[in-house]
Amino acid sequence: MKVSEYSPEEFIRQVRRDGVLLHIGPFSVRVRSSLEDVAAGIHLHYEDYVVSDQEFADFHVTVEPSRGFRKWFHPQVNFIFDGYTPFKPLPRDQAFAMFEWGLNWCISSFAQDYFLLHAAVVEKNGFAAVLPAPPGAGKSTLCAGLVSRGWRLLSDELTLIPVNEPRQVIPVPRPISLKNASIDVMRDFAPGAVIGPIVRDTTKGTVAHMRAPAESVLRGCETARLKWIVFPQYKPASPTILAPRPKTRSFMEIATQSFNFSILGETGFGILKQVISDCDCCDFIYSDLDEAIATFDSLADGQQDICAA
Amino acid sequence: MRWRVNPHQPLSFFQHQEEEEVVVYQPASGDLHLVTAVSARILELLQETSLTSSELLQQMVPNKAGLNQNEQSADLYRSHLRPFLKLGLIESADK
Repeated sequence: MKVSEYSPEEFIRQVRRDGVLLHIGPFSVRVRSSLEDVAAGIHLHYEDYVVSDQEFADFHVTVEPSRGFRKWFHPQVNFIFDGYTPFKPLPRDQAFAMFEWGLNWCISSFAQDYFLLHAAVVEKNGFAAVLPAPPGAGKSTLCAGLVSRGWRLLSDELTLIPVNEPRQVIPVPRPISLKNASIDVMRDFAPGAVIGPIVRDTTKGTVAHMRAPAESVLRGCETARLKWIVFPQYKPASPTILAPRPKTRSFMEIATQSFNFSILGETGFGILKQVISDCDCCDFIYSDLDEAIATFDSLADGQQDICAA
Repeated sequence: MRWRVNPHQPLSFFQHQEEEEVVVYQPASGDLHLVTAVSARILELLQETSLTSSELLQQMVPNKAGLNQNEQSADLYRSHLRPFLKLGLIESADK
């Protein structure tokens, strides 16, 4: 049964009582919360996901209000993973965002069958473009723009490359985390996109989540072949520039963006060697989202191979 | 003094075509280093066998006409071998 087949009230009751088990990419996640806005957030952002009745879950997560006087005075919430509280509590209005961030942490900390990158990844014509970038570089905006114009969302935050098949990317199509100005940019750019409530004053600034396109969720088991590594950077008033980037420099940057390069050791080095050798690496500067998408489209259509140094 | 890369912890390299830099992976520390092609060549030579500074110089610059051997060896030590030692990329083979 899909999340959207539950009424919001039913879903909130279910999340509160037994929790729900969602298959998110290759992971099964059981989430439970007594907080209405967590359940409502999941109902809104994960409506195309199937609620499973299986018992086993990779991650058991709970988002619950803090106890004691914090229940009333500047109320807070905790993210709990297998009975463990890995983070300090956050203000109550950040409950759904905390679920999202906590789930990122679960995957990036425990999914060691994958080479894990802090990067968005999108697909077209079977080929994946990985977009690694530091916060504020315009990665999520570009990713949201691309998936609003026909690219498939594999992930906005976590690129999963199987250790035993480093030419592929495994999808984990979850809501896209939009921050600050990019929220309004996406409202204008993709008026049909579902963007949830705005949460202000988080550690990342103002945040809102955009629902993953239904097609990306439905094709959540379909891997894509790695083809491009594009380092995006939003620069106001800049022309769109796509330029080759040295592979050795790309190697170093990707290693720093990996969550588990040091854990995987030589295996990680071998995977990255293969990934960088197989992919075209480029720097990408943009200010106009339409132009940016046109550039990506020409890459996907094989009309542009400027990345190939 | 003879120098070498620890034979029990061999370095791994990544170089792409004609790019002038090379990525070196050091398994003992898990660190990555971005080095020049010349540095990478020195490390590869010291990984194959232990060498003195002058032997290394001979391998790097076979035609050494006009070179002051002692001066160049000292320079090689200062510019490359000493930093490699500090980073733990090479060690003395005399111990």
